[in-house]
Amino acid sequence: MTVNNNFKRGFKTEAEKKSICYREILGLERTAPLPAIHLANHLKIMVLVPVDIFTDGTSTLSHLENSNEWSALTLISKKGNRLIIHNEKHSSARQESNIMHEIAHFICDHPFPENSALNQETIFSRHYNEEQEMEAEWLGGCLQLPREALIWALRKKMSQSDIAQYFNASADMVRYRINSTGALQQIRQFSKSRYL
Amino acid sequence: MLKSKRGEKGLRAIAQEIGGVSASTLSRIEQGKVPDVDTFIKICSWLGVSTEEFSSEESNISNKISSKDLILSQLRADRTLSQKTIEALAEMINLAYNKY
Repeated sequence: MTVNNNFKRGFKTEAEKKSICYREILGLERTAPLPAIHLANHLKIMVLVPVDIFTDGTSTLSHLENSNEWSALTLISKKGNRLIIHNEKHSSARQESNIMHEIAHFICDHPFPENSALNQETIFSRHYNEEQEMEAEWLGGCLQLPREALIWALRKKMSQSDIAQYFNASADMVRYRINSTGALQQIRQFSKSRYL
Repeated sequence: MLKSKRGEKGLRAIAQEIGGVSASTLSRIEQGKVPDVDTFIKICSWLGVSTEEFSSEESNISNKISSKDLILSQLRADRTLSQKTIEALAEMINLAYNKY
């Protein structure tokens, strides 16, 4: 995970606000875990796995179900539905992060050409927008672990491992969010000021 | 369009700017040769134009891309995809596209 500050002005603040806002809309506490599937349902995004797509048990299905090579992808279907297809073989925390990242692309309104069909060359030309990937990475992390929730957890003296378990996040994600939000510094400042 | 944007800059410098394209490929394109899909997309991105700009019945590239719009499928892969996985994902994406 990269820490990068080259976002559009106000993007990070908006990302934190959105993370809290969705929790409130879904009737959750501001510092509660937000399951990616719940957010997807709310946003009317279908979250699928390969077995939902292949009607017969084929070797292709078996290959995808047993592969670690891919994580998740998004597309708009012919009927205009927003789909996320993800790899169930990954750990629960990794799946959560994968789905949140893809949801983030939709929330950011990253453009999807409509009514498109595919050939292998166009899918795998590796043409992707770096700025959009960075935005989805940041927002996905915010959705999973908002700064407010991190500070709450650190104040409760939860370990990074506890935080990871509570929010169904990976240890890497917790570390990334703590480092990139300055949450730990804020806790330390707060502790210092109490003794002044 | 390629020639006018590069101006005085040499092909090597432009190839480096675009990334993943050789100077000799750019030279062939400027002479009228049709690039492969991957190169075409990279050049459009560098030019800051949509691939649709080159939509025409005469263009082989546009028959592959513009006759059906590009879907932006955002894959987060941990490592380089094997050919078998690429084919499997392509099949899955096409099925999902039509089914849902």
